[in-house]
Amino acid sequence: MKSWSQAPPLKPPLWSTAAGDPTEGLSLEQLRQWYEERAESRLKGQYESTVRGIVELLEDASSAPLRLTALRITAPHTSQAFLDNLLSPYLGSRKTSDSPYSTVRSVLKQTRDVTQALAATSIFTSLQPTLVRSLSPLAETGDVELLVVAKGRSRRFLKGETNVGNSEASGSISGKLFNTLGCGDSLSVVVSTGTRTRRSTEISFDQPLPGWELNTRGEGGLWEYERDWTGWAGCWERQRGAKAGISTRTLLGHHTLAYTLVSRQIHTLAPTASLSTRLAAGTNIKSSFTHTLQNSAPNWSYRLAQEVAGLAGDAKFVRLEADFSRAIPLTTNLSTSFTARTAFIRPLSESPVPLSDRAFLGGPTSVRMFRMNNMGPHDGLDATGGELAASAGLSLLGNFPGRALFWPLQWQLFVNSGTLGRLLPGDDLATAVRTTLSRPSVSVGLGLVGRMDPIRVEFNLGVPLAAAKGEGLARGWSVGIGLEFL
Amino acid sequence: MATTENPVLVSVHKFLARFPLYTYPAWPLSTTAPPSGLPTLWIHPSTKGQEPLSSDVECLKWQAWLALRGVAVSLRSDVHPDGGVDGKLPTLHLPDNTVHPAHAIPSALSIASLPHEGYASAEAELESKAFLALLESTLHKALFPDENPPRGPITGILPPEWLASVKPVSFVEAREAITALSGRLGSTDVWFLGSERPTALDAAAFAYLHTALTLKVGHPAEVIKREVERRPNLLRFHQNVEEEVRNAFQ
Repeated sequence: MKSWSQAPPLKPPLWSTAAGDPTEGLSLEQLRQWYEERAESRLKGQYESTVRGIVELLEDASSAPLRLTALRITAPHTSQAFLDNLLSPYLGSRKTSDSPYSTVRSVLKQTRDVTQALAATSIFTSLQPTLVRSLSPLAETGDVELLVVAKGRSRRFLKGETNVGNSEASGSISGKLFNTLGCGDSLSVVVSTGTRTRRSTEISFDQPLPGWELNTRGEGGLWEYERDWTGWAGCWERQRGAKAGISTRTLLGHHTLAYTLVSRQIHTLAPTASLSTRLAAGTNIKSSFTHTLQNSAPNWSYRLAQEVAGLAGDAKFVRLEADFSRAIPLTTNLSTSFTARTAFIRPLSESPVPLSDRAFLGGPTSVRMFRMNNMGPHDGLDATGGELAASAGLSLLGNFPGRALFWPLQWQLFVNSGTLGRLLPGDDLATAVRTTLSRPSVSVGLGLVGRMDPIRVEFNLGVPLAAAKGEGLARGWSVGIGLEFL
Repeated sequence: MATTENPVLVSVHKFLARFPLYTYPAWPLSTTAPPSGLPTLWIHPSTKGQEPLSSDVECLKWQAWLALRGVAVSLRSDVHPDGGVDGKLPTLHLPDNTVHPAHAIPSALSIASLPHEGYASAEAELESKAFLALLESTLHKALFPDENPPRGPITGILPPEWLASVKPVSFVEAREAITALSGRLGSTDVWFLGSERPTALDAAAFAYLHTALTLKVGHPAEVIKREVERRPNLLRFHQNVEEEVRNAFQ
């Protein structure tokens, strides 16, 4: 029986199939196209032949002994200690499972690993690796050195921008210095001013932690800002804080563990400020540890945060937050998205949770068709905020037909729901949770969604269907600009 | 000129006004009314713990005034000055949950004004204003030399202690004020300016005398304390009023 696995041997004479003549009767344009296609096909063939030749050559030589004896990196503004720490795992003779000694294959893998490790620092725009014969007088046959010429990316960055949205107009200047210490570090300064957030200054620094993997970074920051809360709490809030932490990435997502020391001052009360706000006025110091885990993909994201405050300072509480978002395509032009957010804050002393630490709900990026941070319990005109918060939003999004199909514009129908309640010291937890969940405020509406990644702009028409007495309502139309919406 | 409203907009507003379709009752609010049921005076706390007399001269002035007028109020010293009306203390909190600044305390408590504000005559009333100005200007500056120093755009960002006045404060005028105050009280009068009942001047004088007498050792204005201690009639006045004020707020 004849075996199909064995091809018949090729025997000359062979005819060339690469060429050929164009069909007769072609126009000048068709002839030009024919010759262009032939030239392209030849080039492609030559390229494939070359690659195949190299691959075959490497395959043949992959088991040949070759030893990497030195690694030379030409990287401007990069510290030697940082490179030593980064590349030490890739140095030394490495053997593959196929061969008990260092081979061409293992050296090529080392080269790839080194290049990838350098690229992961994000401080180089291009990397050019070259293997050369070792020039050392002690070098043996098959000893090579890896030279990598790295070109650093711009180390200074300055940006000015203005933003309008969420009932706020602001302007900011941000500057960044990358790799100043030569170890993949980053220093950023953002100064901004606006109608709602005044005199905001933030300085942050982060760098890979020596002795840890590259994605484990140490972070530190200082900030000061002054925010106008007169729209919902009849006061201003000033914060001055410092933060130090460590962040890393695991299979679950991006973790940040941080210690924060911050002074908050409730001041410049409106003449109509409620008694709740007046009694919350003054300076309050918080010393807390926080852990945040967040992860996202194109169609989903989640965030879990825990905070324990009270090792020093005035604020004493435990806070748990969980946010989840999921988008599901229904058809090619129709999708649905669901978002849920919860917050739970338990006071750990006889004093209520400070105003600055309470949860607030409502607004174009929160529960739509309610005024910003104006849901839940109120004292007069002022929202008191709460310790128990839950909100959820379900949206149906669709593309417009015709030419508008390719515009970054969609229509949406939405239903939002949210509830915010108090958990004061001495309150029964089960009763407070039951009371809070038993009175959800609900809103519905429709609108336009414009996407200018990562920013999303919404223009909505809607109404609140259910609301508690005293909550701030935003019937009719509203505009929202933000990164994350309910 | 009469305005004509767009009928479409009116219809839209009428439609929107129907929402929300369901309204929950207002969230129950933890009580913020004064627990004693009495009007409550928010004051700066004393530097001596549970001491009922405020360490702030303005608060002490009003404490004394209310005590001398026999008005029953309770005290609260855990509210930050930023929480007071106009960001200041004292502030009066009434049981109906309204708050009032210091200057509105008499009207908020419906305290009837007296003929000549309680002074013996119109001349005495006029003289009281001069003495009040002496206390609240000359004596105040001597007792609180670092209060609200003028700060320019550069000095505004520096800590106040770096800007401590290097100019020595002259206590000559303050000593003269104490002398004048002592002279006007006389050796037998109970109240200043020969009034039959306590007045605003008595409350203010007590507040400043108490502040001077409780200055810490080594305070730059200690000379004023010594000046007061040399005046038996001022010491007697201070002792009498202090007893009355303490009794009112114990």
